[in-house]
Amino acid sequence: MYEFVGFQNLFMEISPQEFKKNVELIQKIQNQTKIKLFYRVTVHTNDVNEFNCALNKISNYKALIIVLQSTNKDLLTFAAKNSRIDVLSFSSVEEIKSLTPGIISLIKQSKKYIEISLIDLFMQKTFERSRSFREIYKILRLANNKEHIFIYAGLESSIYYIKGPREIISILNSIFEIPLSKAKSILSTNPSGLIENIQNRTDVNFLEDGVRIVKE
Amino acid sequence: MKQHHLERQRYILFEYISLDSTEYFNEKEMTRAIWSSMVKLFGDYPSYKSGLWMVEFNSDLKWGIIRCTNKTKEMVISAIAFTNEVKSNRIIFHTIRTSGTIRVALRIQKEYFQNYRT
Repeated sequence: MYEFVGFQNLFMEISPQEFKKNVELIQKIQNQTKIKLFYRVTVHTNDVNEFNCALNKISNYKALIIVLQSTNKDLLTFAAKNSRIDVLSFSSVEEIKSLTPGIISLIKQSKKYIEISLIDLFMQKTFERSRSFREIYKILRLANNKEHIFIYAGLESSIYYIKGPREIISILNSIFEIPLSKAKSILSTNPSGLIENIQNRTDVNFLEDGVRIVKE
Repeated sequence: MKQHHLERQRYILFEYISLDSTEYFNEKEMTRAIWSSMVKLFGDYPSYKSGLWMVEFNSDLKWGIIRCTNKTKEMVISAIAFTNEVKSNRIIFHTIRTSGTIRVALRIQKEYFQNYRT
């Protein structure tokens, strides 16, 4: 279905144990589709100790993208400075309310990404949908001129809520008043940047931004 | 000459898929569903200004071409994205391309269906 609506790359949710055990199965799935698959793990918690325990279990898997989903502002601030977290996810209205300008600034400095989802807009109706529109609009206004840190997440619970990239770009442009070029970057350039970060992390020759060992 | 003929037009080529049933929809039903989604999202006035009209529709191969003004193109595509059902059947839309002339839109439709949907 993702291929039907026009996606070419996909981040798939997986647990680290499954990732380790089923390498062949993952390769088989990749061979059957033209979509390139990348894998991610989401940590759902509001407790700092629980977060540290979860992180200790998964930090060895360098090829996995680690995402934090939380409503605790202190934990979000802590995670924004943590080098192992790649993305902070804000998919529901409650999570969006915990995002502050300070956290946005920290994320921008540490070259991480904020993940937003429009799934509530597709599932809700009438006044609930209007409220969700308003919350997402406020966040996008807060991060004015910082659209390069946003990426889009589907987080669909049913295939009927899957929307293509062209439709998402139009929604961001017409409803949330984001310029077309920045809306396109949320769906193409920013995820490419995230993938590049992961590839640099797994590359032995990569030291830091702009520094790479070249062997002759 | 009516006002909307003076505005530049855009033709949006789309296809759809319905996994619930094999029921066929006609042009009016599809237009009505997209139009009501547009009114719910943006209201009556922008919907009227868009000049939304179904120019071509094929219920066998499940594709269509919608005409709208160039300024309301993104609004119409958003309305298509928010259209979840037609006649109580759940549907997924895919916007393939937009074009300034219907001739190019029809050419793109032929090429797309030859290359990707055979």
